[in-house]
Amino acid sequence: MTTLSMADRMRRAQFLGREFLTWLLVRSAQNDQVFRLSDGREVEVFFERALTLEGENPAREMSTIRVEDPTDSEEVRLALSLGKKVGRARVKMVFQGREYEFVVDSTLALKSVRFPETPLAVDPLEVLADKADAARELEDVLHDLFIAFVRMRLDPERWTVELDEVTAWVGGGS
Amino acid sequence: MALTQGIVSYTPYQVESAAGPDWKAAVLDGLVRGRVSAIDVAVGRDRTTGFAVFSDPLDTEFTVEKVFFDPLVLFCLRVDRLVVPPSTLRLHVRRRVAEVLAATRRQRLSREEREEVEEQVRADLLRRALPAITACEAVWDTRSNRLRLSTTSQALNEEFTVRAREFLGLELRPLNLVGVLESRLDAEELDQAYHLLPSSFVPAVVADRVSRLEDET
Repeated sequence: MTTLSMADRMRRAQFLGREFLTWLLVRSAQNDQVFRLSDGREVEVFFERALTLEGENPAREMSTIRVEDPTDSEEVRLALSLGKKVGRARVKMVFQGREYEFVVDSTLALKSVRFPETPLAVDPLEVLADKADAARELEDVLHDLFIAFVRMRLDPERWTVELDEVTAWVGGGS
Repeated sequence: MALTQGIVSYTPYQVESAAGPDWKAAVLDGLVRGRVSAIDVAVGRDRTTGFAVFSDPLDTEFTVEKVFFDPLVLFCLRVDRLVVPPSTLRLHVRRRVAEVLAATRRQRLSREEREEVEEQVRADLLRRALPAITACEAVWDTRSNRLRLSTTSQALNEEFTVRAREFLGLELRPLNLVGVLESRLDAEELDQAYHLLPSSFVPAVVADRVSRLEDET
């Protein structure tokens, strides 16, 4: 498979990114925004303000819904119940008391990232080093959540149970 | 980078290649060899790409002091583009065509002659134009061996990875969906992941209703 180009591998796997973001949205709504990472630490994930939903062919079927809380929006549930999935989301993540805001899409690309506030450093290189640490933490947590999702997705028994709960929420359950 | 600003869009990479004992000298040499050069309009180019100094992208004189800030390695990918606005080109071509017609006492130019004039005018204007400069900052954190480039443009990222391999000897794995799958899953899991089919999150009751409606129509 790795003999395929990066673009081809991306096309083949991108649906997993959409499923991951959709699962993250639903589980954020169901679990009071709390997720447990593989090392046992907790992270809070909040979906905010804007959510892009895509159909099987995103070039033709794409809509952006702007609401204060997408996890509490009938419009979002309706779009999901019609087969759309989350293609891009604005997210706030709180980890170990540090707050990150960013836009993430189904390729896991990070845009408009706002890192945690740090005490004012005089040395700009110190600021850069702090930001590099923060960037690594953000990437590691997001990738950890994604890999946990993929491993669940690869386990038919676990995924059947999970899928039932996600579709129940999409259908109007809590 | 953009990393020095409040809000950042960037592409993260894992540096996969092992650093040799003289890696700093090799990187410095690669930055010098791969630095941005002047746009060669004479051979029909209107664009150039290369490395520049992080703190001043107009500077391409790399030194140890300008690049290595343990634990960070800092530089830029700079892209210079010459652009002639279409409306400006049109006006200059019109004037040049009029001059040629007057000099040759003709009423009109053939299509080929007109295209030749347009190409000459464009080249003349490009020689006089100032390039539009884009600088994407690269921050390589040698503690985690992650490198972040302050752009999410696919084209610029492709140019950067090619240039990093060619001049700096760096193999970069983009930490996107595919890069994360391939670095975090074992071979068996990865094979399974690439053969998964999409799941539907549509509730059964809705799917049944849609199916019935489709049957009726």
